[in-house]
Amino acid sequence: MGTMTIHRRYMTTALLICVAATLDAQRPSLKEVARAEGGTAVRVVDLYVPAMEIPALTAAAELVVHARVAQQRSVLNKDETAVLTEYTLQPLRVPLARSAVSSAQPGEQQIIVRRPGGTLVVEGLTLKTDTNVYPETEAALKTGEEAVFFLVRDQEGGFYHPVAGPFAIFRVSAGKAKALTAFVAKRRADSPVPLTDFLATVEKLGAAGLKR
Amino acid sequence: MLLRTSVAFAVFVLVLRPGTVSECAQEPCTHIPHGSGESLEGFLHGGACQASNQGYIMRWSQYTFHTHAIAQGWCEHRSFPCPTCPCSPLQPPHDRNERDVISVGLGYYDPMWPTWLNPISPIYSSTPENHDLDSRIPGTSSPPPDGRGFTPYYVGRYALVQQSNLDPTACNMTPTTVQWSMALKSVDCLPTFRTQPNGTIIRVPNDATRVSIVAPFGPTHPITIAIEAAAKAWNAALVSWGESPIFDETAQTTLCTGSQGGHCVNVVIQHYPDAPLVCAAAERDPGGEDGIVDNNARIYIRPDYSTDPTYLRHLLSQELGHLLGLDDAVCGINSVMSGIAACNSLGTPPTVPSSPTPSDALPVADTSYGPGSRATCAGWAQ
Repeated sequence: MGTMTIHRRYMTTALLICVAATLDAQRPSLKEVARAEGGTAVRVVDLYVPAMEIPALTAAAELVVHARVAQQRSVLNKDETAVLTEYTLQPLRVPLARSAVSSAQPGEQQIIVRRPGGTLVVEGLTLKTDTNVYPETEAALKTGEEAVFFLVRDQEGGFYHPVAGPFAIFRVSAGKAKALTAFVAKRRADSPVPLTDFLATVEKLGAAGLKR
Repeated sequence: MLLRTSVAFAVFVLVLRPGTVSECAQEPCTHIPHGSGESLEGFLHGGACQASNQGYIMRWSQYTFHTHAIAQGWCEHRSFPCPTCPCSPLQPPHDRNERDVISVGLGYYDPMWPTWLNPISPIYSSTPENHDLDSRIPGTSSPPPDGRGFTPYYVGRYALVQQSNLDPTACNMTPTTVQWSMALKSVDCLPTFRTQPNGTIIRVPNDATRVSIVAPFGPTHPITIAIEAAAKAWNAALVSWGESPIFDETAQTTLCTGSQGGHCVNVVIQHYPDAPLVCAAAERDPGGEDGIVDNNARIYIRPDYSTDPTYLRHLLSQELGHLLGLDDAVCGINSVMSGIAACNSLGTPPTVPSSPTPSDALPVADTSYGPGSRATCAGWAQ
C-alpha cells in the first residue's frame, strides 16, 4: 500500500513536471510574439503577491539590505519570455544575512536584484512585460535612490528576488522607509517609519529568528 | 416603458413646478425663439467619486447632486398692448421675454424598481431672472451650496435623471427641457481595470466560443475542483447581470493549442518563473489595440499554496477575474480581487471571498464586455 502511494506520487510529480515543461514550450518568446504582431510584444502578468508584514518578510528573507541603486536596466529572462528590471545595488547596511552572503557587506561587492516588468528594444523589436504590482510610473527605482530590500537568492542565477514583490521593497526618502507603491501602502496600511527604527526592528526580528 | 418613464417624469416636474402656464394659452403675441433650446448639465460630488472610476460609485456613500442649467430661448412681442396676457409685465414697443430657469427637477431609478422614478426635491433658482442656474455657486439657488443628497442603497445600475423647468415667457414656450440622465453603477468595491495605454481593457474573448480551462490533474484534484467551481461562479455572476457565460465549466486535460488563441487557459502547478515566491500569476498576451487576448493564457499556482478548498477557490477566482479585465482591489470581504497575507494560510478563516461578488461581476458585465458607461460622476452626459 505504502509503495503504491509513493509510486502514485512519483507518477503525479513526473506528470506535473512533464506538463510544466510542455507549458513552458507553449509560452512563446517575446521576440516570436513581436515578429508575429508586427514588431511589438506586450505580455501582461498579474501577480498574486502575499501582503507580508515586516516579521513575515524578515522570516522569509535570506538577505535584508539597505542599499543605493547603482544601476537599473531592462533585461530579458533566460528563455526570453519576459522583460525584467534589474537593479544593481550598492549595500549601505545589512541588517540581516542568513547565508553566505559576505559580498553583501557595506562597500563590498554589488548585489543584483531582478523583478518582472519593463520595456526593451532589441533587434528592432519592442518587448514589454506589464506587471500589475509594479506600475512603471510608480514602482521604478532610479539610479541613486535608496531602498531596503528583503531578498532571497535565485536558485540558478547569480541574482536575488524580492521575497514578496513590491511588499518586500521599501523606498527610503527623507530618512524614512516608505511603501514602494500606493497600492502596497493601502493594502498593508503602511505609514512611513524612520529608517533607523525600521532597520533596528529588522535586526531585532532577525536575531530572534536566528536564535530559534 | 420609455413612454411611462417620460410621462412619470413630466408629471413629477410639472407637479413640483410653481405656477402654471395655462393662463397664457391664448396669448396672441408672436414669438421668435432664439437659440437651440436649453442646456443642462448635472454633477455628482462626494463619496468615492473619482474621474477615473468610469461611472462606479460606492454603495452607502453620501453623494450630492449639483446642476447647471442654462436657458437660451427668448420671445419678442410685436403687438402692444398685449391684450390678454396676465402673466408677464410687458414693455413697449418690442418687449423681449428672456427665458429663466425656475427649477431643476431631480430623480433616480434604482436597481430594485428600475421603472419607478424616485423623486428628489428640485433645486430652485433663488434669483428672479436667472438664465443660468449653477447650484455650485453659493447664493444662486436653493438649497445649495450643499446640493441635494443622494445615497445608493443597492448594488447595481442606477440612472440619475434631471430636467430643467423654465419660465415659459409670455409666449408660452415649452416649459421643460429634455430629460438628461446618467448611468451609474453602485458597488461595494470600486473596480480597477487592467488596461492598455490606449485605455482598452485587457480581457479574454467573449463570443460564441467559450474559454476552455485546462487543468490536467484529474477530476478529483483540489485544483481541478477549485477551478471548475471558480468558472461556474463567474459564469453565474455574469449571467445575473445580463452577460453571457464566458468559461467552459468542465476542465479539459489536453493542453491548449495555438489555434484556440485566447479561448484557452492552461493552469499549471509551478512557481512563476520570474517571481518564484508569489502565490500565483495570470499571464496573457493582448495582441492588438482592442485589448482582446489572442494567445493561450496561463495561470501559475505555487506548488506549496494552501490546499484548503476555500483558499484555492479564492485564488483561482481572482486569477480568472484578472483574465476578465479586473485588477487587484483592497476591499476585504467585498471583492474576490482582494488579497491575503500569506500563500499557505491554513487554519485561519479567509478574510476575502472565495467567489466573485456582485460588485466584482457588474464591472465585468458592464465595462469589460458590455457597452458600459464610461461617464464619470464628476459630470454627466446625456
